[in-house]
Amino acid sequence: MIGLKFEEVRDELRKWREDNSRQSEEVVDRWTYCLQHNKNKLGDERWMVEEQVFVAALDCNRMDIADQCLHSLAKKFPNSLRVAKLKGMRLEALEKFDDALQIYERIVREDETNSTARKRRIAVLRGQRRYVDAIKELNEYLQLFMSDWEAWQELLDLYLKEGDYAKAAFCMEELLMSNPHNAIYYTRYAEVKYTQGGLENMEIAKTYFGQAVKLNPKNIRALFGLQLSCEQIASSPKTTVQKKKEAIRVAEYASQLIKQRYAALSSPASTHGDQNLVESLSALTVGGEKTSRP
Amino acid sequence: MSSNNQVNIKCAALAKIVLHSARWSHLAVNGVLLGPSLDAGKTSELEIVDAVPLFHQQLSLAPMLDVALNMVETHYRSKGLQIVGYYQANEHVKDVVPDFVAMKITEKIAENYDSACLIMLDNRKVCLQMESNPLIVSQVTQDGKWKNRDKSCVTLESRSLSSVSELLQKQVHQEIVDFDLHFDDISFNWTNAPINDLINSFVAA
Repeated sequence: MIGLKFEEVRDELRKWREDNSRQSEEVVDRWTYCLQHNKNKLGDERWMVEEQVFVAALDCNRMDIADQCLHSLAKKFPNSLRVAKLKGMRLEALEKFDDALQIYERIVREDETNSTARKRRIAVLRGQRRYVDAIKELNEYLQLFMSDWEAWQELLDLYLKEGDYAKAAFCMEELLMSNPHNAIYYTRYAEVKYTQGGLENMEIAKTYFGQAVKLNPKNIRALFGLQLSCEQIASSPKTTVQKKKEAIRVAEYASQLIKQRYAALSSPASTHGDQNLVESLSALTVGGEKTSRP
Repeated sequence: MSSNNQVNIKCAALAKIVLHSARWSHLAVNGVLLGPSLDAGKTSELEIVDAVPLFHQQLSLAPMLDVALNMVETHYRSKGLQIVGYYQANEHVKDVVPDFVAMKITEKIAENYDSACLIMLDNRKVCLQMESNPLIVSQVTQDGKWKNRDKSCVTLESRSLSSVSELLQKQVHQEIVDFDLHFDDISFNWTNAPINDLINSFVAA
């Protein structure tokens, strides 16, 4: 940690900002041991870094660091709505939700197009475990900001938490329309349909797992999903003979690809063990203990 | 049903649960519990020997759960272990109530193992110097309802709390692997052998 060079650390934080990944402990460490002593070398990037460290510090309950960063930002950008939002987040971290809401409502009054403050309101509801209210408000938000993909994903997450698979599938459909080449979206949609159960949903799952495999043949979830959904289809009493044959064929194809992927792992010990695992998976009998999901 | 029986939890199980939750502390996580493959009715105690972390992304989706459970059962059968329960740590720090996912999965496990237990992690008790057992254990009673076991019926292996606290201090939680990580990249080994070795060295010391 002490040996990390300033440039490396700066680049790491930049990458985490771009990926929007939540590496709070690491960010706080790098600030503490490196960046805070080199703030002036950051140039214009300094303010984005301070904001990033602020949020990470809230995550790690390092209010001392958070307050330092907030103080610098507030001084540099005195009437900024973006800084006001950060003040709101600080109050959220302290569980002062009503005070946080007041700030967000003020921001929205001053700027109706501000989407982040509206989303923070929904975050407050989630922080208070008011999931049903969060869903309602998120739906209203999406009426206004319907191409906000982060919001659609949040709504998907909330519906899955509540077990509302049908509405989760609808969110996934919106995401798929925006991103028709995203293998992860295809896989996730297929997983939701599989979970919903029933022959029709299983056939949709099979199609979407298949598409995910085409887009990214290395996607092991899609391969497993393809195998399982085909096995479910093959074992359903409502399946026609021809579809059953096809399903079995595709299941075997997926199973072969999975075995190859595991065999390609470098360690011989794990390969052997995992081969057994894969054998056991493909030995799941058609019409065995697997039942259709309720 | 074993409403009076002791539940003994080994350090490895406690460690995996806590480390799993600590790595993805802003998310809900879940996993299964392992115990000796004995007929539950014949023993007077339930021993939870280890835990296998499953997911930190969507906990409520079926396909990967089916795959993971199958892999776990197959792998540990040859070691004389089977799935004896399920654990979950909710995303909200104060939330210790099992949701529909926890109930459903544990009930499924209970179909194959009478004394199956459901463990919820009390996030508030997880810290760098743990002093009390953060695990809330519940089992099905005679009348088919899920009931929390009294703390006096649940024992942790000696030095578990101090060992796990030390693991957290050393940031070992950054290394723990679950099935979500494994499915993202299969070179990540979900059996967590290095962490198990480390835990064993702590307990043996």
